Amino acid sequence: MKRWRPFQAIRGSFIAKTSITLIAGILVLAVLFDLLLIRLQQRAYELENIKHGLFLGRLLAQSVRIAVYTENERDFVMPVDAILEHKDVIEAAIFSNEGVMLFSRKKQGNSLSQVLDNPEHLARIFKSIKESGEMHWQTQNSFIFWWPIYFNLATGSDESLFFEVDGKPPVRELIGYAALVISKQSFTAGVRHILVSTGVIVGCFLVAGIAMSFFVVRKMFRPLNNILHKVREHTGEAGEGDDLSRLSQSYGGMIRELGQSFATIKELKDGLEVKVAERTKDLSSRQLQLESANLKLSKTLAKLQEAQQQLVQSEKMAAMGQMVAGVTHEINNSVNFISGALPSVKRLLENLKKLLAGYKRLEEVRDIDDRDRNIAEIRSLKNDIEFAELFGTFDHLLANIEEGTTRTIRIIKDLNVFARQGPEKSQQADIHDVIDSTIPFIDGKLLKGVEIRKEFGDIEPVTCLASRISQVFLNIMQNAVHAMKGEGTLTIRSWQEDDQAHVSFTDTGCGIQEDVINRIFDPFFTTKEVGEGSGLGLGISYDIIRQHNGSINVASKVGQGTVFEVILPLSQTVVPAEMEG
Amino acid sequence: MKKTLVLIMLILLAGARTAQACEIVAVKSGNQTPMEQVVRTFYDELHHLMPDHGVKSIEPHLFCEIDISENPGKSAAKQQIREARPNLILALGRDALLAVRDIRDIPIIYLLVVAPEIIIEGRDNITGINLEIPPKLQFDELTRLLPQVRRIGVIYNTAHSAMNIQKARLARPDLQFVALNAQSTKEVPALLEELRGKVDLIWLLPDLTATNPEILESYFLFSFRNKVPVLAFAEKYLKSGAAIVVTFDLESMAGQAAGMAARIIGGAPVSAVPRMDISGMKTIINPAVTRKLQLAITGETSR
Repeated sequence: MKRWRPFQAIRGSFIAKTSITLIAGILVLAVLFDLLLIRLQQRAYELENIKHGLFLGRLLAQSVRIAVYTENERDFVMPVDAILEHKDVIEAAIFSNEGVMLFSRKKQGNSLSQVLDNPEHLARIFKSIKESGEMHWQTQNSFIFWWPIYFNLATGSDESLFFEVDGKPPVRELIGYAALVISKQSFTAGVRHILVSTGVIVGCFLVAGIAMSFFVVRKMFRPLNNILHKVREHTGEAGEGDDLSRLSQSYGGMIRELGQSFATIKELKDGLEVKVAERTKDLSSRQLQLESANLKLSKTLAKLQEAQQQLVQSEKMAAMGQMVAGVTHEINNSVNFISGALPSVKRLLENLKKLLAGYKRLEEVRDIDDRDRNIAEIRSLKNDIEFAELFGTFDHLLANIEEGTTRTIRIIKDLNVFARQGPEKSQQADIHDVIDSTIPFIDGKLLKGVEIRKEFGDIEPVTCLASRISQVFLNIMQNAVHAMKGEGTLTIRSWQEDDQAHVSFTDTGCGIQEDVINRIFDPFFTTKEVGEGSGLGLGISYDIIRQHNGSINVASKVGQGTVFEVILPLSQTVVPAEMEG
Repeated sequence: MKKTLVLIMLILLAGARTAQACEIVAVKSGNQTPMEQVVRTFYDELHHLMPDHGVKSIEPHLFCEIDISENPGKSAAKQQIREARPNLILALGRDALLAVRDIRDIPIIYLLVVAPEIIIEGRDNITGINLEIPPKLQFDELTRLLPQVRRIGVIYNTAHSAMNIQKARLARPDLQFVALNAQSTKEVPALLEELRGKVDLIWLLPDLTATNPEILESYFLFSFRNKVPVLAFAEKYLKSGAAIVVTFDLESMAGQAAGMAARIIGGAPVSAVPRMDISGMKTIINPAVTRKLQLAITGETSR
């Protein structure tokens, strides 16, 4: 546990040292100021007392000047008693100019003053007055004041008796001295009062000054304290020396770092152009390498695109093969209606030709016998050709031909929808028609044991490239029937949510392994045997749906089946991509 | 040749500065207010008395004043007077009269001079008005205002004022004068004490020994302590504590002097214009003092 050492803490803290120095300075100044103030006040008070004493002395001298001049003792009493009525005046005396005491009186009950009774002291005073003109002295307990008594001599003109004479100072004669002894009792009390009041005032000032200094130092040094705190944090408590040393060290470190930084900047600045040139050259070289690599990549990309085109073409050819196989089967079935009916139609037409030839001949026979014979032959021919059922058979055959023709026309129409040539434009299509027109192109051999269930909901027409969507549906359904291997149920559902059309294809096939389900939309990925599929079907389907701003979701469980869900926005504009076949 | 010389002299004379000349020079002992007042009144009165035009007329700008307190020394004053070439000198005060007394060819009129006899002895070009207040006039005025006053106390110095005491006694034998001789100023307070209870009034004399300005306080202290009024001879003593002042009238004095000057300028010889006493007097009562002394004033003040 770290011990708190107050003296070391103060010695280390710049703010504490400053505060203590300031307070000590204020203390010293206050004491000096107090002493000076007391001395000045005491001196001023003393001078005031002296001035007052001299005034009293002059007053006494003026009052007794006639008495001194006439040396009439009786005239001394009144002015001297009047002066003695003053509180601090304890003795008053009148002297002649030769120093002879003419009159003296002391305040009763006061024994302080012995000055005026002391001949030696008086001699010294008179000597001092004559030599230096000093008119006041002090003893331990009293002030002594002297004032000369003058008498104006009658040296003026006779006119001065009648008129006021201006400007001429009177000629006067020193005729004596008035002396006063004033007790220091009041003076001492006054000095004591000055000491106490000044001490109290300075004490208050001291307290206020110290408090103010403390707050001022605290407020003024707050920013410095923050800096010191940060310096301490930076250097740690283990930093050496006091705050100023730390600050100095930190500042020195900053200066050094700044110097180094500036040197580095200078070096960088000096080598910057060389480095820029080097870097530019390096970049140029790298740019050339990149251009070369880019060229190679472009070539490689072209080759890849070519290969991809070839693969797509192969896929198209494979799809075409499948489609041709389906189309061939359908057309074959349709043509069977026609080709099966055509021999019978030909036979019936021969019979009709024979019958019509018999009637022609009948019309040419004029002979009744021949006529009858011919009729008999016609009748026999009718029986042979089963004339009664001929037109019924004929109608049946024509119906078969019509059925075959109709089926063929529909196949051709579907084929047109599936493989439309030329530029396509997005247009509104009934998504159910697209589904229906696609189903016939599924490999018929695989469909023999597969039940197709349609659970169509109400969907508004979808703006799309119908042939491309048909291609997507065909890929999904082909994969489904492949997965079911000829047996199972393919359920096609459709519904609309918000502004999107949803179509799901649910098979009961083998399902997709979990580890590959994320790769089924990758180009060239296939689980089929070599030669059975290119692996581009679902990849192309994904691209087509993405072009439509739609999406394909897939969910599968191995052994139970797979669900593909195609989601298409109802309204959009689709531009067919170049690569789609 | 003679004509050319005369012409040149005339041209030089035409360009020459005219000399400063005065008909009357007033020489003053000082710059006191009464002297200024007297000079001003003198000029005004003389202007009224003398004709404006004619051979004997005077011009106001030909009055000059010389203050000898600013130009101490007789020779300087006399030099200035000589340069002014006056027809008449007006000497105001003792010092002014002393400064011009040696001028014998110009008529001199003095004013405001106490006891001028010694100064003008043997001079026939000097005349003037004596600065003396006749005791009779003073006591006539006093008894008119304070008829109850009978005992007059006075302190005097024989050398200065014995004549005044004698004149007073002759003029008013009905009054009792208690006159005490003071050899020095120091004696005055003690002499005043001697007068306590013996007099109804203190009479101040223009006596430098008995009426020293420093000792005046004793008179007025005596006056207040003993309720005895002081009769003074100059207005200046009113503020010190005098109850009644019977003194000369300066304007009247200046008018008297103007009349004498007019006669002299008019051609009368100085010997034909004798020295005169003051004709105009005035009495001033200090109401504050009379009230404090509880004096019953029976008449009005007069001039």
